Amino acid sequence: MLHLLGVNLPDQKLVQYALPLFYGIGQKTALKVLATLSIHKTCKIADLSEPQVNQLSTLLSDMKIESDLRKQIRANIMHHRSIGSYVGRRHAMGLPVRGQNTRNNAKTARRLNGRWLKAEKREYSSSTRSIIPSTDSPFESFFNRKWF
Amino acid sequence: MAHRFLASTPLLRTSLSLTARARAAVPAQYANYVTASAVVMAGGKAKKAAPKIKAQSNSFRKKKGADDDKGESGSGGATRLNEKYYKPSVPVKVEEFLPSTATKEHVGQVLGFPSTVVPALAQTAYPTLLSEQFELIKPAALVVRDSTVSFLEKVDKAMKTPSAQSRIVLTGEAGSGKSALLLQTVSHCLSAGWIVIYVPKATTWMNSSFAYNKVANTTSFVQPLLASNLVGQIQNVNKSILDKITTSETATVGRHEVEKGTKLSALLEVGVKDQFAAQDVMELFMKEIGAQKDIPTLVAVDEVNSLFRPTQYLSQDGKELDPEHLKLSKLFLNYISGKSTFKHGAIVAATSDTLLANKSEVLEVTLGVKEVSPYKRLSQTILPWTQGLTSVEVPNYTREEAKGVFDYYKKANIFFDAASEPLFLNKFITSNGNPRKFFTACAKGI
Repeated sequence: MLHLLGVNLPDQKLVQYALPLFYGIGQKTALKVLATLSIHKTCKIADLSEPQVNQLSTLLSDMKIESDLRKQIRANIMHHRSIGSYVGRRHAMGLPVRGQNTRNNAKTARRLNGRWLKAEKREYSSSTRSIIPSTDSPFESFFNRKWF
Repeated sequence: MAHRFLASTPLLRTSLSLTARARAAVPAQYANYVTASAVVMAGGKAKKAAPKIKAQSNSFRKKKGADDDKGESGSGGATRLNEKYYKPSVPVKVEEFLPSTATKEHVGQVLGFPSTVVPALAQTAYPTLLSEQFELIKPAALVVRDSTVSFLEKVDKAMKTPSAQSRIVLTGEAGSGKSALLLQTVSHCLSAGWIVIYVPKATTWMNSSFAYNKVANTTSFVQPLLASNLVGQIQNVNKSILDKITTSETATVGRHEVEKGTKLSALLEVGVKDQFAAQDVMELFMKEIGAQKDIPTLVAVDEVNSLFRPTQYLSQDGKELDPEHLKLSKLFLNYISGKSTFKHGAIVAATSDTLLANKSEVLEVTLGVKEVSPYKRLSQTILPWTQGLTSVEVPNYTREEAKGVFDYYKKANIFFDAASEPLFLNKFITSNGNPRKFFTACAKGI
């Protein structure tokens, strides 16, 4: 079991299919990484040599993956929320953001869309200064109403 | 539904349980290709005479007794095949395939590989589908064909000429005997005392199954482990002959110094022990055997079509590498294309239809096997490597050859019907004389 940048990579897995275990690396990026490091496609994690593991580690730490990527995504959504845009409101309400119909079929959005803000709320719940706009401003409570 | 199907077969009259009947209704020999036991059997073949497939005969055969439970539990085992359904094939006594026996008088006879050659052939694997036949019928033997005799005459003539003049590619339809003819050539040259470099599966060089490293400041890549394996194989196959040849000057291979007058077997040993020196060892070795005239060299490459198409390796930009970017493949391509030559020797290659994905359109078009639209753009990087190759077409069996093979199969007990002219004609005509289909027709009754 190779432990790399916070992720456990099983030894018997092909490198090509182990790299997508990182958040932010998919099939295409994995192949690009293999090509850059001249690792053959049937190489398993256990077959990687020490210098290769170091090269892999360096390459991955230069890419935006895992917690850095998650922070970026969260920040992007929080930006929408803080400026009070439609996109931000839809994220907050857990509804489709990109103009989809909600009369039927908004199941995925209802399940997934609020999670970045909830994570943000959880993170900053203890801090005194909240990034989430307070209800002090005159129009905030009007725009945040879920019913009219 | 199942009952209705089984009602039409003679098996209904037995006292077997439904499951046993269902299992017996499927031709037993398919289990060899379906169950995990086949995989295990391949590994443990050296242990004992491996139980072989028994072909289902057309005639009604009563099953002895109602020992269904024993049968079911036996066939459920992982390693041992149920002896009620599988019988070992009978080893057939065959003469040896020697330069003296590969003549017109012996056409149609099945001759086995000589005892001196078998250990050499065991260093590398047999071609995939042929090895299945050799697993079934021991010892490994091939029929002498008209094409064998004429081809070996050609190869013998090439003994005293540079290899650049004898670069032959065996072509033909799937299952027509290209790999078999190549194996016979290898056996013939080994018996005749040539240096033989036999590559049974060139595809494994190209399908990204070996590690590769970039050579600094070039666009080339080395495959250290592959080169080391190849060097080891060559050394084991040609041990005695290579002791007679020595290097002509001092050279550096990787981190090692090789002095003038070192035996080539010792040179190869360097490549075996240090895989990172193996590529240089291979290049020096080819140069040395090419420079001497005493012992001719045969380079036999099977599945050569994979040398004429993009590999599955990726460059650092993410593009597929061509075979010329891999140093070991380029070394062989140099000899195949005639850019480098042995003073005395021949290059014989065989294409393979086993995997459609590995076919090389460029090679087929250049050899005249396939026609494409003149507007179709062929790879300009691969096309130059295919110039000057001679194509030899391997035909299907003639009746005489097929008769000899049929008699051999009967002696080996892979089918149980009486060997008669109508049965032979049935198999021969339905398979159109195609060797692989003929074998399938005899062994599996298809």
